Amino acid sequence: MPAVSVSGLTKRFGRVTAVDGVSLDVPSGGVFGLLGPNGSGKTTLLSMVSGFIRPTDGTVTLLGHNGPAGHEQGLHMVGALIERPIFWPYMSCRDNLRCLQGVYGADGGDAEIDDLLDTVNLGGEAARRKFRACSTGMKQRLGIAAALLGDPSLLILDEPTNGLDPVGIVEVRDLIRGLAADGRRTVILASHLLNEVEQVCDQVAVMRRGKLLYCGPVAGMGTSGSALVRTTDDGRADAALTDAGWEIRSRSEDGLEVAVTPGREWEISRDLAAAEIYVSGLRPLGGSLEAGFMEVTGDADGESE
Amino acid sequence: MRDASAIVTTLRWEWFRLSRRPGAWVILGLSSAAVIGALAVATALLHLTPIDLSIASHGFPLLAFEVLSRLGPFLGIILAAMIFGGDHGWGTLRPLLARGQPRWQLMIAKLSLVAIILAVLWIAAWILAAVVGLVAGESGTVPGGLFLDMPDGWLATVGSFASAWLVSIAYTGLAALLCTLGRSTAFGMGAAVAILIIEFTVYPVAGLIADLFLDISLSEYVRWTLHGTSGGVMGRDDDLSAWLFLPATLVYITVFCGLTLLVTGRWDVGSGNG
Repeated sequence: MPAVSVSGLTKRFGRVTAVDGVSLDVPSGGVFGLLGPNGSGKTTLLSMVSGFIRPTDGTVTLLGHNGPAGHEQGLHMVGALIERPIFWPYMSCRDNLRCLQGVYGADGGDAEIDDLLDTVNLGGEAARRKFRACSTGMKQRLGIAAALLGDPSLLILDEPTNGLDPVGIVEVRDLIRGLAADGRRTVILASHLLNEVEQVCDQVAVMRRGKLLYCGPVAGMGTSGSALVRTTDDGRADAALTDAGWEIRSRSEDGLEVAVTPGREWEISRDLAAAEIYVSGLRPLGGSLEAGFMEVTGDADGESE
Repeated sequence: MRDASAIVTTLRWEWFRLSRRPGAWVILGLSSAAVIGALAVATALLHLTPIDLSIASHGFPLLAFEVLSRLGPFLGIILAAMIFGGDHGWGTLRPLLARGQPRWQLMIAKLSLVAIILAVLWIAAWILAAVVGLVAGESGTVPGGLFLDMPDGWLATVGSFASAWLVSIAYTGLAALLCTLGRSTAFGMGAAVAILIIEFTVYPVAGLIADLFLDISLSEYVRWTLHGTSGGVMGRDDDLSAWLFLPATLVYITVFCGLTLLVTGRWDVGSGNG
């Protein structure tokens, strides 16, 4: 069962379509990245998943719950930090967490709050500081702590490293990886930073101008969806792979370019071995992850928002 | 039952937040000071002047009622603006609703908190006035000082306090609606106070002009505005019984609160202004 499944999700603000018919499944467990340039619709999409924004069209299934009442039920197990950390400015960090703990019905008491404050490095004097007096980084940490209240099984973090110093960024990335390490929790990490997604996420969805452009393994984004295969007999290999249902995109002296889903290249090797053809070389085609992202988002020609 | 329990829990944490706002204590302190001040002034005047002061003939609880009935709408508006507008302005509705609590539960909890605070204030003022009256009566400052010349006795004063409380709830609903529509404390409070002041100033002038120059009596129409209904339910309409205005006041409360719930339920929850 996917942790989140959205189907045909659309949001229009007047004439502007912020999210345009997005359908995707976020698998349970692990870190799922939502990547896209600023203004691509990531935050609007996550706001709809979190129930803050009503979709114009489409459905959201959250931890197996769908429909308006089901969505509210699903949200009981979701912690979210979307857009920016929002708290009551006149209360201390600790009181803000206490209040939300009470509202959420989380029963961890003071021990949970102490643990969370320590986890995000806001213990001691920082915990007593009024939210309005906190630095951007402290606010961001408090937002992460609030999202973790009640040990939710799905965490939605929208640009969680915004405003953090380099050390803080590393700590938060380690924290996110740790949160999803045991596989029982799913983390959705929205970011416009490619290297952040590359370092932390297993799967990624790429958005641009409200549309979903890619959804799959992070590594797959750096490939062109094809692999160059070199064999001892390219003629026989061509026939064998065509018989096995593979699409041969091009043939050259360098070998055969075969269309393949990123991460499934080994299946080509398997089918060639079955036909008793030896593979002398097999490599996914494409450049760096950055080049893949540019290709996916159409930024390769310098187009930008 | 689960809904009621959730509302009570939410109400408790609404109070937790309000009680940590210095502004809330300033407002409550000023309101209390107004009532206490009025009673103190009355007591001082009674020491200095003969007993037939009109103020004495109304009794101390009615004096407190007069203060609260003038103060109540403002107090309702300010509290509603703090409790509703703050969460819209800061965007803190988002963390409150992040775990799927139905929006209507949150709104009911907020309305209930304002209603409870006002009720506690009104009851405290009534008790204070009664105690001051008793002391004044016992000490001989005002013979029979508590309920002088009050034909309906103490029950009437309770009714008066209840009507003043109801009127303040109507203005609470108005401010809650305006805060929700404007998504801001400043807009909600400003617009509600503006309506209150316009009602106080424009209706009498408009009525006078209509009477003198247009030969139209506006009083029939003004009587059923929020201002007119509020005055009527507190017994300030010379022609009609206060009871006639009760349903109209309840209609105002229902419309304001109903629209607040409707708008909150349907609109997107914004992330505030920072």
